[in-house]
Amino acid sequence: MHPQPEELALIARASAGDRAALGELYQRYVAEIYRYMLYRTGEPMAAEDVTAEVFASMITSIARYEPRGVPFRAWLFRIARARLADHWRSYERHAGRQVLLSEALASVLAGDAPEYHDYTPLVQALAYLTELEREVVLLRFAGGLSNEEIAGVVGSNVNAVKGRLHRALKKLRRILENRAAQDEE
Amino acid sequence: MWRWLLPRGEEDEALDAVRARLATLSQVQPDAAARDRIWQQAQVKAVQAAQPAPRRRPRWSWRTGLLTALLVITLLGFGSGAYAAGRSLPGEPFYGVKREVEALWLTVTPAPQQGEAQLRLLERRATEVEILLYEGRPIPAEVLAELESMLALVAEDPAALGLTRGRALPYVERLRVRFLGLSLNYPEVRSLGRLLAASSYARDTLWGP
Repeated sequence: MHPQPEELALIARASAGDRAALGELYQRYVAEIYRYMLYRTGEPMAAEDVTAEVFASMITSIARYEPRGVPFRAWLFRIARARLADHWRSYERHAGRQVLLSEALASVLAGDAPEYHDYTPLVQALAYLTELEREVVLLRFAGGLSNEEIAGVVGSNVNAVKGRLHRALKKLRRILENRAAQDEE
Repeated sequence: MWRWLLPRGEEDEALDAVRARLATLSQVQPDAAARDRIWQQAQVKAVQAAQPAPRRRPRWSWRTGLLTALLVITLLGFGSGAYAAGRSLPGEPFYGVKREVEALWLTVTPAPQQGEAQLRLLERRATEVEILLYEGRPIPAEVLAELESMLALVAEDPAALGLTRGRALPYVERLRVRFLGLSLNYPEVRSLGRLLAASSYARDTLWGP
């Protein structure tokens, strides 16, 4: 998926230092990046902080963005992964690289979730996936990236991403069904 | 009881259901206040990142410390060795080093200053004699011979050392006065008479017509 001409023009203006264009790009992508960070860090405050880091990097390095390289959304998510790694490094939470259902996250989800969905088992099920499986699932469903964009972000190919996503979905299906069965019993 | 394996159609339906549940993850949005907070924070961080980072003080590692300690020990070793050599007297272990350093110094001294350099070394030999006498030690014969021969050379052929008579005379006169004083202070040291005689001869020769 390549950027639309309108977005390319916006990026060009932002690269030239146009604050309004930067703000528009921010509004366009902040929700996706924030969601990804929310499910990756499990802490709304940390998600806000790391999201701010991502957009600070966007402001300082957008002039180096090459439209003919990866799509802009994938470029942003590459930055997001790098800032997330910095976040984990600084907090020495290497062992905790999984979706944690903190009380703060639970309240955020409860506040925004439709009534007929229970987020808790879903977010907890994500914690059983491997790091790479969780990564592609969250990039796909929280970040809204296409398989091609995910491949660009994680440095893989589309078929590998599709395969990983399929395995992750099957694993989630089993975990969720298992949990539902336990709840019934 | 949940099922591990499903017929293909059912499997696809089950995965679609998971997809549908996962799709709800995208319904979470930062509210307007959070969006403003994040944007403000991002702009501040961007400004901070654009500013040059303050120069960090170099980290003091154990390796740096070890190298510094080795350097200090080496320099102290060389320094104290040089100091000891510089103050050594004839017959002492470091005296040979002192003479080698002097020879090196003479080698690198430009030709026009060679004569004066020789005369300064002559004065240094006189100082060594003075210290030996003060400490009640004998004056080695080779030191006496060196002083006598150098004084004779200065007196008879100052040009061989690149000196004029007028340039050599003050040095020789200073040496004569020192040896005279030592002769008076140490009348029992007969060799001082030889040094006084050699310096007087040199002074008279340079002073002469």
